[in-house]
Amino acid sequence: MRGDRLFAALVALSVFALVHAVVAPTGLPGLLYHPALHRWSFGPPGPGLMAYYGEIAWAVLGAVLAGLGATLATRARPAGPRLLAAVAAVASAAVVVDLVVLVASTARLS
Amino acid sequence: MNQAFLTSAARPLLVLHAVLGFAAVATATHLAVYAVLGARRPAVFGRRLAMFGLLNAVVALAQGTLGALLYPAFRLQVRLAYLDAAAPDAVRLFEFKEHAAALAMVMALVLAVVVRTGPQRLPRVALPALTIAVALITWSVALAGTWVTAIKAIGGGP
Repeated sequence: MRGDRLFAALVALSVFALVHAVVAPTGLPGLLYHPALHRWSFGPPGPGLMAYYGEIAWAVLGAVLAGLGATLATRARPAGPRLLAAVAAVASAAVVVDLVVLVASTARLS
Repeated sequence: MNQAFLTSAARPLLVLHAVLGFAAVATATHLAVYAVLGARRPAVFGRRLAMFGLLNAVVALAQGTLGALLYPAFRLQVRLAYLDAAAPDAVRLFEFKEHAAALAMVMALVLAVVVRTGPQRLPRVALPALTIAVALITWSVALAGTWVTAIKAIGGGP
């Protein structure tokens, strides 16, 4: 599968950062790990459960799907300079949004 | 209380985690410097940029994976047993670090692709901005991890 890998990489980064910014603070159901029991489950985060792996898994899944979609979309023709500039700007903004949300949500932890 | 995954090997793995962390700081900083220099003279710095893009991705991936494997031991042995009651600010700092490290790891992987597939196709400021961002995040993660470890470390005894 040959597509525009530069474009796909930046799309994947944008989606990873945006999904990561949304999933962790909203407490969406996801993969959970019980560290004392060595057991995995699926559901909303709770006390004593580790939601970290599930939150990262959602973001990685989104990034992989978006990257594959972007690769497919550019199979016939690579992204032009305007589209690349736009996706680079979106990726940069998504990273900033993710960091701001991350700082705000960890400051609220009790 | 049951032991978490990798608890018995936590101390040597934590040392390796720290070594990889500072290697990630070094490679991310070099990547940012060469991206800034390469924005003006791509013919001179292009090869070093590609090399540090790859190195940073490999180190960040190893560092992030090891950190994720050690996280359950930290959760039980350090956070639950000590930090939650004694140092809640350190818990917040650690949670920030874990998530920022995941972002830095994905950025490092993406930047490795970007520097090898034609960064000159992007606006001149894009690559320096993204590489400076990943370097700053990596520095923050390393400093936060060192700070929390100085308070209480896995494998560090009661």
